[in-house]
Amino acid sequence: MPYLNTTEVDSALVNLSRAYPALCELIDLPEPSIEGVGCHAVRLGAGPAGSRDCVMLIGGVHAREWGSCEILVYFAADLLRACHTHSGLAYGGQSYSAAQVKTLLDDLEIVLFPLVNPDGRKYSQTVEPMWRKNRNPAYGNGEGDCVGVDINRNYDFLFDAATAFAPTAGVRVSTDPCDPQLYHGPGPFSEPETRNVRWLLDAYPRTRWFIDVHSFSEDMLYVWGDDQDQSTDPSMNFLNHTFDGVRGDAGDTQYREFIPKIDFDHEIELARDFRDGLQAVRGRKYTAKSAFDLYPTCGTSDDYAFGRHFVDPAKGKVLAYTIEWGTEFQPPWNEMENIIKDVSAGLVQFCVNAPSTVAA
Amino acid sequence: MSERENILHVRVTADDAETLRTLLREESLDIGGRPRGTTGPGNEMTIEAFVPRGKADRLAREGVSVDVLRDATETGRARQAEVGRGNRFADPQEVPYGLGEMLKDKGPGG
Repeated sequence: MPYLNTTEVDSALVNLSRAYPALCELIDLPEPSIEGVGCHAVRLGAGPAGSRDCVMLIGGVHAREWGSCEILVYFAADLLRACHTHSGLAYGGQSYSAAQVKTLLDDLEIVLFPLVNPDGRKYSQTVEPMWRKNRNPAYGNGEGDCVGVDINRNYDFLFDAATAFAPTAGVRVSTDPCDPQLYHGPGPFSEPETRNVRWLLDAYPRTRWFIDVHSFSEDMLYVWGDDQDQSTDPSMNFLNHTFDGVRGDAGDTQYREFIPKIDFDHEIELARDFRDGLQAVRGRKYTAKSAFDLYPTCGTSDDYAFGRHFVDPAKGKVLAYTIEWGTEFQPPWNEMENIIKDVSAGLVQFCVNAPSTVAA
Repeated sequence: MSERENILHVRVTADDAETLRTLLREESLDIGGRPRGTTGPGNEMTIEAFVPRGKADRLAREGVSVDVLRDATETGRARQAEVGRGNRFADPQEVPYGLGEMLKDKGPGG
């Protein structure tokens, strides 16, 4: 059972929705990719659309991180089959009862968008394996590295890094269309891939949890990515231009990004739940930690998803994460199978415990 | 289009976090993964990166060592042979199965 090609990822979603019509709905994303590929997500859940709090999972953002799509497709397949057959689920040393699986799909919606960047994945799987960006030729000369945008720098979160961050911060982004990895595009949401993710978040306003599946480093990262977290000074936040030019330096106190204490506690709690569920499979020890480390990021999906509520309080609060699975982008398939089991177990644990972070 | 240089997967080890931070500021590195402490002496920090073959040696400097782990381009090309051909789900009745084991009446789980 090798890696899925891009056609297979999409067909797998279509067939899951046909096989389990009471539990799985196919979602047409509004925009095709630059190369004209239509995109699908699926919504899992026993209730009508929009009637439950929602866990949203996206993958296949960075082209070379192949296994992210398989993780989400097979995670969906496991949940649907287990629920349909009234079974529990086991991954190595970790197991979940049939009642837990049923409760999960009764009480939640799970929206999965496994292949955000189909053009990039196809290019990586057939031409240049280390390709990361999408395949938009519009902004450079259309050749070589001057093609494509880093999808996970194209969201509307501190997009103007030169203004928002300290010159010494070393923020991981590029304004150069020929940067082989980190070009953020000409403006936030310039790319159809990011617009599709934004559309999903708008279309499922009861999304309370968001996970972007990437590789690698065996981490479960929680917000924020632009600076260290703090819960004491609400005015020190990404919307406050007073702090332009000072964000992103590690270890300083000039700026740290505000996160309400309750959200911070919940972010850590669920990240640790994921880690513990995963570790029980075969002992892999992922680290639950802040997305900010030695260097800041901007324009990423997790900060955008969590930040939406602060930009517009009418929008629900979304606890947001990035998974970094594995220790290489394209492990041999037999090891990728082990990683899929690891991460699936962590995701089930995350979903089982997620409702506890929403006030009754 | 000119032929691209192969990309090497390297491990960069710095004497401490500040040295690594300085390197990351000065060099446009394609980072794979997150910085880690090492089991080595002092406050060593390490990070894995992907660099064109010609750049790998130039990263090494005082307080920074570089170990080549593999040729990532060659490894990736080998992995391309592990990508499905055709469409194993072309038949609408062909349902994907995950990798979890289905359990009957097992609990308490979690």
